[in-house]
Amino acid sequence: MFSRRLLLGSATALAALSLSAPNLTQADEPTRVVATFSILGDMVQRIGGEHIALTTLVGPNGDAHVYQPSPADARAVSEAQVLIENGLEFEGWLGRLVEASDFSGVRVMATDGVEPIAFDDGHDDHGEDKHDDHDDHGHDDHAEDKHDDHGHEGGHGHGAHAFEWAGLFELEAGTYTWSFAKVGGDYADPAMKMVILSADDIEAVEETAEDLLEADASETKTHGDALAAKEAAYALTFDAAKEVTTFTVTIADAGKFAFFTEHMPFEFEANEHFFKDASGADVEPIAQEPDVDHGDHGHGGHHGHDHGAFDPHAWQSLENAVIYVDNVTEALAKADPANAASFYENRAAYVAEIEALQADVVAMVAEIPENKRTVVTSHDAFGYFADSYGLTFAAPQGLSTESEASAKDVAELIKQIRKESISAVFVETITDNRLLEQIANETGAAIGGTLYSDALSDADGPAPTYLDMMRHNATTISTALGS
Amino acid sequence: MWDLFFQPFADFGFMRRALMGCFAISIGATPVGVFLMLRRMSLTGDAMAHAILPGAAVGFLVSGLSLGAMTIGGLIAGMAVALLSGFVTRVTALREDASLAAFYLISLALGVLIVSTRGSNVDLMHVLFGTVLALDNAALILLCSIASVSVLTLAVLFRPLVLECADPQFLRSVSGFSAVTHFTFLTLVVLNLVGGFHALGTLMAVGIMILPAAAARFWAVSIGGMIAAAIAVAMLSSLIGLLLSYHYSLPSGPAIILVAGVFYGVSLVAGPVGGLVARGLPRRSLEI
Amino acid sequence: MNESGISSIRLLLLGAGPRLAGAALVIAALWAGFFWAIATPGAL
Repeated sequence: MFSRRLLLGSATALAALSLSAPNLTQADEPTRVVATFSILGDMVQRIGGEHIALTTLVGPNGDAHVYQPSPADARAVSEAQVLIENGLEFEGWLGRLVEASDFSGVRVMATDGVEPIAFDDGHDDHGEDKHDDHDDHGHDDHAEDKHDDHGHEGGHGHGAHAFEWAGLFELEAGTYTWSFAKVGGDYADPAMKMVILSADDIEAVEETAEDLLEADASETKTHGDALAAKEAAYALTFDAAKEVTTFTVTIADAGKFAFFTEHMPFEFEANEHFFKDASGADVEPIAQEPDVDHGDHGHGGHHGHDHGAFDPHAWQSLENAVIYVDNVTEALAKADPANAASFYENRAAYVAEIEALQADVVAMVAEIPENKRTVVTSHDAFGYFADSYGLTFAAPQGLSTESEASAKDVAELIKQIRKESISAVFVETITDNRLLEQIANETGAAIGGTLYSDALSDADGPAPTYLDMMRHNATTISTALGS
Repeated sequence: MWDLFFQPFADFGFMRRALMGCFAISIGATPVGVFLMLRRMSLTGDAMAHAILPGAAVGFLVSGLSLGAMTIGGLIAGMAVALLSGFVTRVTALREDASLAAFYLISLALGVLIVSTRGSNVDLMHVLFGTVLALDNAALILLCSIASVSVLTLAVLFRPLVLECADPQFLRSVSGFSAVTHFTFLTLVVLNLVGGFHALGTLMAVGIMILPAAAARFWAVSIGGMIAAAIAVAMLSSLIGLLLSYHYSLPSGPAIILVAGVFYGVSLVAGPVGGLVARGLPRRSLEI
Repeated sequence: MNESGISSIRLLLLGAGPRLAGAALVIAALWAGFFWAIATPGAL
């Protein structure tokens, strides 16, 4: 009797355990995974192999910026154990879908740990409500205060603020090191202005900093020079002969200090954090503007819209792809520990391929003449590609395909094409290319080819997998511009 | 001065095309809008725009981004809705507004259904909404042709149209021509919307049709005068809107429509014919 | 009905002449504008 009760009890307990942990895969049953779009789906499939049952929401040639989920999608999500998304507010529609479908699994952000590029030009402010019959796309305005005046370039537009980034640090007295490293062989910019002010919060001294940055006067500083908190602007110049340029920041009295920089300090991070104390430990800001918070998943925001403060197209850099793959592998291994070994094996093989392709792409880009390294596309999808490989990208539309170009944007782009004698422009699969064709006609540039920005092609196209896509893009660009 | 007004058009081909495209639409669609307004059918414009959309979408599915296919598709859908709703109005107890509403909603739903089952409705949203900055030769020719046809038709049908606005029953009782006029008029509405939204987007097409007409109401008493005023407002809005888009980086379509809206607001207040000020001021009207 | 139908149409088309002339002018101006628009910029 004792043993029977024990048996019954443990059987019940076991049953209860398996019911209460729905995300742990039963042996031999493939893990149900949902990936939000085709590029991510391809990566997940590579890692998961036969151990997962994958559903991809936005398929090949689909535009995830403006996707509208179907009931079939809701069903897939509700049954999923793992949901893998890009994040960086790429999938504005996902938040509502997850809520509506009563998802009970694990949500994974593939861009966890990616250093995002800030979006600071005014393009998405022109997001127009083009869907007369769908009233859930309101006019999404600014996430931060942005002004829609300036023109733009690939990753480094200049917003209406004189500073691109501000950070508040709480520091003890002593010396600190602020470093600027070359990324991909070059500094993101050859020089940069910085202002350091003693302050309790950023807003209090923002105006003073802006005035200082916008004024002509500044103190030029080079590698090894010392900086201090004072009402002056530093013009920091970077040593082209060195891999890393460092400046010493001397803090006389402990307190809070606001640092205002013309460019994002993350753009100058290669392997190390940009700000360290005398012992070499990383020092993180207690507040930042714009808000760069890795741990927090900004899902969808308040609007059904697709842009936040950052460029979401992080997969356009192969180095980031490795981060994506790491996140995916970790998530799958947690959900299905039994097959974790196989996932990590697949990861190793995949990463090897990624690194091989990286070398190829770098070589291809290197063959493009220096003065021909500007790529004109339909929308600002290639910021990470630009940063990674040292090209400049320009487009009439902004970060999202929903934004509408203004006459000024088009005019600026035409002027740029003429000035730099750009010979080829590139259409994309997911955008309306009529505007780009018009620009090509007017400038005499040729259509250099089709680029795949936000989605893979279908199986018989030139970009059926992520690696094929990156290779195709790099080849198309280097062929058209190199000739 | 030159820099502000003329240089953008001197320097850039796309600006000229945008301007001419808008002018063409102003000339073709605005008079149609005036008649719509006089016949209290102003919302018909918006309804017809929705009815047309699925036709253009199907055209796209059949032949891709072909101007011809989408135009024809839109035309067929628009005409079908116009005809059916007209038929229902004449033959049943249902009035024109309800019957049109019913049919355009059915058309819209059908269009979404067809497009969704065929897959990626997503790209469709992009191609259905043109921008005035991307008018190629074909689109420009289409717009100018539609405008030409509209102007000619209106010149010929002016009197019957006016009569139909004033007293539709009378015309119907006197001449079979009434049906022809009505049908031709609806064709013009559809034609202008089809040309307009493929090149410029639904917002612009309907907006340019209705807003200047509404503004013109406050400036003229005769229908001919209203048409002239409406065309003037439309063309001015196009010019100013494009310049705003150029100098201040505003999206082009909405800028033009908003300027038209401003004209409307100003006309509403200050227009000499029935505007707020005109009505409010104690004037000669007190003299009998 | 036929007879009155024909003369009704005649009545309705009265005065179309000058309007057609005006229309022709407008159309001519429109197409002139078209050719200006598609010309390469530089010549205003």
